Parts: sequence; C-alpha cells; structure tokens
Amino acid sequence: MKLVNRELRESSDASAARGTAFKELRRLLVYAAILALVVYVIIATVVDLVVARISYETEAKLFQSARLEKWIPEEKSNPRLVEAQSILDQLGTSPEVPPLPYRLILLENECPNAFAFPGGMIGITSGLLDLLTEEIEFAFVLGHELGHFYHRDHLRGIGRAVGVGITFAIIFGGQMGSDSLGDSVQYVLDRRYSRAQEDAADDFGIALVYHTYGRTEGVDRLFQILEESDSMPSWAYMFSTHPDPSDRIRNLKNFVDAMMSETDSPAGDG
Amino acid sequence: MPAEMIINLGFPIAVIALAMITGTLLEKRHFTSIRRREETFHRMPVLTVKGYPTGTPISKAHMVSGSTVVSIDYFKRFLASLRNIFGGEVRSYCSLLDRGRREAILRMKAQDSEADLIVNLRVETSSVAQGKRKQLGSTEVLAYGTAITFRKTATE
Repeated sequence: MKLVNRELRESSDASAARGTAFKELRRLLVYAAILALVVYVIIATVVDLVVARISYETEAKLFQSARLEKWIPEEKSNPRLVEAQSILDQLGTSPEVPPLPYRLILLENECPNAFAFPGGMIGITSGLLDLLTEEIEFAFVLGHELGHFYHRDHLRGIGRAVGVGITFAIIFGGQMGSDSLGDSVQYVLDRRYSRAQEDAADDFGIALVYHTYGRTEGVDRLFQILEESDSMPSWAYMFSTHPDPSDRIRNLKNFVDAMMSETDSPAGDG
Repeated sequence: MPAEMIINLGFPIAVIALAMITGTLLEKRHFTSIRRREETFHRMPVLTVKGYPTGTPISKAHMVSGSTVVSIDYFKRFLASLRNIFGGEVRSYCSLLDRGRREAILRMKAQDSEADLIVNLRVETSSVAQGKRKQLGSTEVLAYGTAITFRKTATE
C-alpha cells in the first residue's frame, strides 16, 4: 500500500463553517424581525376583534371573580383617597363613561402614576396622590384612566400581553438559551399603551372634566408639576409609555381650543 | 421604565455581544493553532482501515487516544436557538464540532509523535449537558486508533 501525503489546503476547513457567524447573525435577525412583526400584527388584530365583542357587562362579570383588591389592603383611613373615590363616583355618572363598577385603590409607590385594571379598578400611586391638590386635577387623572376604559385599552393591553406570552412560550418553549431574552422582547412588545392611546385617553379625560366642571383651568398645572419633578431626559420618552409632559400640555391646549370653538358654535350641544 | 428595560434587554444583549467578541477571537486562535499543528503532523497518516499494511516489519503498535471538550458560547447558542425556529444548517455548531474533532485527532497523534501511521481511527462525539433543561453546554470529542511504528530498515 502506497501512502501519498498531500499538503493541507483550504479543504481541511470544509466543515468548519469559518467566518460565517456574522452573515448568519444578520440573516437570522432579519427572519426573526419579520416573524415577530407578523405574529404581533396577527395578535393585535385578533385581540382588537375579540375586545370589540366584549360588552361592559361581560367585562365587569369576567373580572369580578379575579378581584385584585383581595390582595391590596383597603385604605379607608386615607382621606385623600376617599375624596378621590367620591370624585370618581361623580365622574362615573356621566353618560359617556362606560358603566363599570369603578373602585379606586392605592398603590404604594413613589413614582407618580395611575393604572386602569380590567373590571373597573383604578390604581393610583401614593406618589401621584401626594402631587395632586385640586379637585380638577384628581378629576383629570381619573378621567384619563376612564378614557382607557372607554377605549378598552386595558383589555387590549392584557390581551396582547397574554397573546404574546403564549406565542413566545410556543416558539421558544424551553429552547431559548436565556429566558430573560424572551421576557425582554415581550416587555418591549407589550408596553402597556401606545402614545396614540395615551393621547386619546388625555382627550377623553379633558372632555369629561370640561363637561362635568365646565372648565379646564388647573389641568395644565398638573403637567407642569410632572415636568418639574421629571428626572427623565426627553429622549427617554421614546421608550416610555407616557408622552413627554410638555408634549401633553401642547396636545391638551390644542384639544381644548378645538372643543371650545365647537361649543361656541351654534351647532354645538355643549 | 427605561432603567428596567436596560436591565432586562441590555444585559442579555451585552452578554451575547461579549460572547460574540470573545468566542470569535478564541475560535480564530484555535483554528490558527489547529492548522499549524496539522502542518507539523501531516506526515503521519490516519486511516480508518482495521488492518495495517502487511509485509512491513512493525516494531511497535499500541492504542493512542485524544479527547477534548469544547464549550458553546452564548453567541453560538443564540444563533442556534434562532436556527431552531427557522430550520437549516446550524453553522454555529458546525465550527464547534469541527474544532473538537480536529483537536482530538491532533492530541491523539501527539500521544505518539514518533509513529509512522495510525490505523483503525474512531471518532466519538458526546454532548455534555448543562443546566436544568439539559441544554447543550459543551461537546466532547474522543478520537482513538492504533499507532504503528515500522521497524527501521537499512534502506531507509
């Protein structure tokens, strides 16, 4: 048997797949982006269709059994919360407000914020409660959350979070190297509400305040306070759920101007 | 909110990016080393045949083996997990296994660098699972064969 030794050439790297990692990364990221977009659009469409078919009565019934207040101690002692609840009850009688059993709960958190939970529960942080002084400010904050109920944003938010969560579990189901990556992608996808939804809720809130109190002065003060206590750089609002306070003031002024001119015109029904 | 997002999203991305840099550098160095040693050993043929060339007197024949364990990095795992969704060749694992096989064969050769040839080569691969979900953590490659040294004759 004659053995012939040949010089090693590139062929020794035939199955090494050397230098293909970045190409591979680029290609896979493009695939993943397309997949994520398609899946998210499908989920959002399905959720919107389903939410549109859920009546307020069904919503109240559906989330009655899953009451969150069982886990949150009732705060009867806080007079400011009781005051806010009475403002909420008054706003709730307005015809444009969805008929849900509204209840206000206090969330111990320094960060000023408020949340709409399915079934008519509104959570307000202690940080926001401390900032508010006048009735009209309370009314606007609550009106904004009622706007989320009116537009069904809270149901959509939950629907999307559940849909995206299930989809990620199906797609990645135990294969993903790190769980946190899947969670993070999900976090970005289900930012609670979009800017457009927040603006719509602002508009609903200001209209409700105007119809209930006949004026809107004092609401802009709220955003001035928020702007002053604001530590977030303005670029960070790109990733935030709520728009920049100065943008919100501008939006509100435009909306109030439009509403005023509508009311002043003879066709307006006030 | 952005701070939370930076932790949730930024940390895994940073780990993957770090693994991308270190993994690529280490792999490049490993391949350079493999090529260099393959050059030095290329006069020692390795055959998969069971027997040995008859008619030549043999002075020594014994088993040689070499093994290595090569670890996956986060970047390769990330690429592979994306491949798991879309299908196709998992190229990030190809280079890993290629490194393992060639390193194991080189170590086997190094066990008897005076041998004239190695016959009956066998290569075995096993995965060393890690973590709760038994994900592929590293790959072990074992190469073994029979090293043969011919008796030196006056003509050589």
